[in-house]
Amino acid sequence: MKPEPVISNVLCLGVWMSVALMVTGSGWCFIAGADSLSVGVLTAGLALLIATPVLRVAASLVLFWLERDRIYMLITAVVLAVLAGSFILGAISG
Amino acid sequence: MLWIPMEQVPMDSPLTFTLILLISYAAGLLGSLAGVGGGIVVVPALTLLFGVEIKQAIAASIVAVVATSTGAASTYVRDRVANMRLGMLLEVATVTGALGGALLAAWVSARALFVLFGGLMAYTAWNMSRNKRAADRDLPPSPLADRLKVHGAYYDQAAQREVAYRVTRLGWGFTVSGLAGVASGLLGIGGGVLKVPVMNLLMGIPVKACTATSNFMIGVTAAAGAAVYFMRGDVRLAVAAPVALGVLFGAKTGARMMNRIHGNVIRIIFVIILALTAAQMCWKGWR
Repeated sequence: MKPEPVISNVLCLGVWMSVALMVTGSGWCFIAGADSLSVGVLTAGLALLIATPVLRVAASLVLFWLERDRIYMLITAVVLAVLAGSFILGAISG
Repeated sequence: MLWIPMEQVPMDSPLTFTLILLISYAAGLLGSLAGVGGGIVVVPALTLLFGVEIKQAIAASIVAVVATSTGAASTYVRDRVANMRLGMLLEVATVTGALGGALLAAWVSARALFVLFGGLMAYTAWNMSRNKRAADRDLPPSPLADRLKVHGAYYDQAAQREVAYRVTRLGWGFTVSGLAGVASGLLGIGGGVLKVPVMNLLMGIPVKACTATSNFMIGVTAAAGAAVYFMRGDVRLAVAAPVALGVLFGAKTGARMMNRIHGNVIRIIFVIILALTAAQMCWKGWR
C-alpha cells in the first residue's frame, strides 16, 4: 500500500469534515443566534481541524507498521510521544 | 482605513465574518505557496483592523498555521511535491525543539532573540534572493539519506517534467529544524521561514519541494500549541472560525496553483515573506 494516497485522504477527510461542522455551526449562529448547539458544532469543527495533523501522524505510524519499516515507526512514535508531552505540559502549566 | 472595533460590531455579524474570511483566504493562499503559516498576515490584520486582543489573535494565527498545513498538505502529499519521509524525519527535531523552546521561554530574553532571529532571516532572505541553489553545485553524497530513503521525485507541471532530487546534509536539516522548533515554541513564529531556506540552499532540494514539505510539517508543530490555546479558552470561536475557514480554502487554492507556477516565482514570494518577517521581528526586538 502506497503511503501517499492514504495520508492525503486522511488529511482531506479531516479538512472536509471540519469545514462541514464549522460552516454548519457558523450558519446556525447567524440564522438562529448563538446557542449551545451551534457553538458546540463550531467547537467540534475547530477541534477536529486541530486534531487532524496528529491523526495524520498516527495514520503514518500504522502505515509504517504495515510496511515493517522499523526506523520510521520509531521516528513517528517519537513525534507522537513529544506531541503528547507538549500537550500535557501546556495543559498543566496554563 | 477600515476600522471595525469589536465593541461596536458584534463579531458574529456576517460582514465582519466575511471580511476576516477573505483576509484569511489570502493568508492561506500565500502561506501554502511559501510553506509558512501566514501569521504575518493574520495577526496584524486581526489586531489592527478588527481590534482583536493580541492573545486571541495569536491563538487564531496558530489555528491558521494548522489550517494552512492541513488544507494544502493533502494535495502536496498526493502529488509527491511534499517529501513525506523527509518531513516526518525533520518533524522529530521540530516538535522536540518546540517543546524545548516552550520550556525555555521563562528563562531567556525574547527581545534579544527576536533581533537575533530577525538578523538571521534577513541574511537568509538575501542569500535566497541570489538564487544560489545547492542543486547547481556539487553535493556531498549522504549515506544516511540513502539509508533513510529520503530522496524524492515529483512531476513539475510548470516545467512539464519529472524532477528527481537527492537529499544531502541531513545534519544541517535536523539542526535547523530543531532551531525552527525552538523559535516557534519560544517566540511563537512559524518554523517555515527557517526550514525552507536550509532545505533549498544546503540540502539540495528544489524550492517547490521545500515549501511543500515545510507546509506538510508546520501543522504538526502548531497542533500541540493550538490544542493548548484551545483548552485554555484563548481560541475565540467568532474569530477563529472565519480564520480557519478562510485559510483552509485559501490553502486548497494555493496548493492546486503551486505546481503550475514556476519555481522562481515561488522563491520570490518566499523571499518577500521572509524579508517582511525579518523586519517585523527586528522591530519587535528593538521597540
